Amino acid sequence: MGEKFWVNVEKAMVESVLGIEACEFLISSASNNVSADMVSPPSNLGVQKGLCQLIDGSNWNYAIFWYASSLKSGGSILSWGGGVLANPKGSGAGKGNSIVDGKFEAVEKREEVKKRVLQKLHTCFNMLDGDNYAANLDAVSDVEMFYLTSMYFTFRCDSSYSPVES
Amino acid sequence: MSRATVELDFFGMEKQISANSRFPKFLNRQRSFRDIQSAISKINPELLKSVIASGSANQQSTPENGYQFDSKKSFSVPATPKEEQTPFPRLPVYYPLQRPALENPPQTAPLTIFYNGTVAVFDVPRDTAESILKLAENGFSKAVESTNQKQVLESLEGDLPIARRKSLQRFLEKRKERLTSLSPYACTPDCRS
Repeated sequence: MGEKFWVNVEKAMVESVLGIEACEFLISSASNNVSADMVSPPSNLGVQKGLCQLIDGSNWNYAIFWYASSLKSGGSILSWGGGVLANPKGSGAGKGNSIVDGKFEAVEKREEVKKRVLQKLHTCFNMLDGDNYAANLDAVSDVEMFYLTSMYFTFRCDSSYSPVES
Repeated sequence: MSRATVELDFFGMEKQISANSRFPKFLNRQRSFRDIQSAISKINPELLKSVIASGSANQQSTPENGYQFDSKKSFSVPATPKEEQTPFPRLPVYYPLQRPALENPPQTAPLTIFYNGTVAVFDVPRDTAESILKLAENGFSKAVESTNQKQVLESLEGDLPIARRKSLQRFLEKRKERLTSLSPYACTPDCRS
C-alpha cells in the first residue's frame, strides 16, 4: 500500500484537482496507519447538532470539526471529527463551480476527474469499505470536493501546516 | 531471505486436492489466479456460512493442523454441536503455502484473504499478520484481553474512522434528498441534522 498504489497518471490527476502539496500529503498519509496510532480515535462525537446550528446562523459554506487526539508514538494530531455542508446558495443550477473556460466538454471532463479523484482516495483510505460512493455521484461542486477530500486529512499539532492554511 | 506469501486457504482447496491427507503439506506449486477466482465464484456464500457455523460448533480433532475461523459477520453460531457428520469439507483449514517470490516482492508480503467472493489485501507488518493468524486460530469467541490483540481486531474491522464514515453517510443522504426534491420553491433550512 502507499507509494506503489499511485501510478503516475493517477498522481497527476489528483494533483490537477487538489494541488501538489495536498496530493503529496495524501500519498504519504495513505501508507501510515494514523488511526491505529491514536490514543482515542474519533467515534460518534455528537457534534452534528452544534455544527448545524453554526451553519444555520451564518453564511458559511461548511463547518468541520477537527478532533484532537494524542498519539501513541508521541505528539498529537487533528483528524476529522464531523462536518456539515451548507445547502448550495441560490437557485438549483448554480453549484458554485469555477468553470475554467466555459466549454461544456471541458466542464464535463473536469467533473469526471473530480469523481475519479474521490474514488481513488476512497480506495486508498477505506480498504474494506466495499461501496465506493463516488461512482454514483452527480457533479461535485468545488466546495463539496474540498469538503469530501478534507475527510482524509490529518494535521499533526507539532507541524507548521495547519487546517487554516489548507 | 524468503519473501513468502502467506495464504489462508478458506475454501479448503488444498485440502480437496490432497484428498486423503489429514496433515498439512507445504505445497510449492504454482496456482493461477483464475483457478482461485473460479473456485470462489462457485462457492455459495450461504453454504460457506453454514459450514463455518457448524464447523466452529463442531470442534473436531487435529487442532494443530487446522483452525476454526469465526467470522465476525452477522450469522449466529449454533450453540449445540451437531451430531451428524457434515457433508461439506471441513472449513476453513490453514495451510501456510510457501510460494516463490513474484516479480517485485514488496518489503513485507501482503496478507491476502479470500472470503465470500471477495479478495482483501492487507499490507501489514509481519508481526501484525502473525497476530491475526494466531487470533483466528484461537477463535474470535474467546475474550480478547491483551491490548495487542485488540489492536489487531480493530485493524481488521477496517480502521475506518467512524466520524468520517458518519459524515460521509450524511452527505450522501442530504444529496439524495436534494436531488429528489427539486422544487425550486421549496424552502428548506440550510441544515438538517
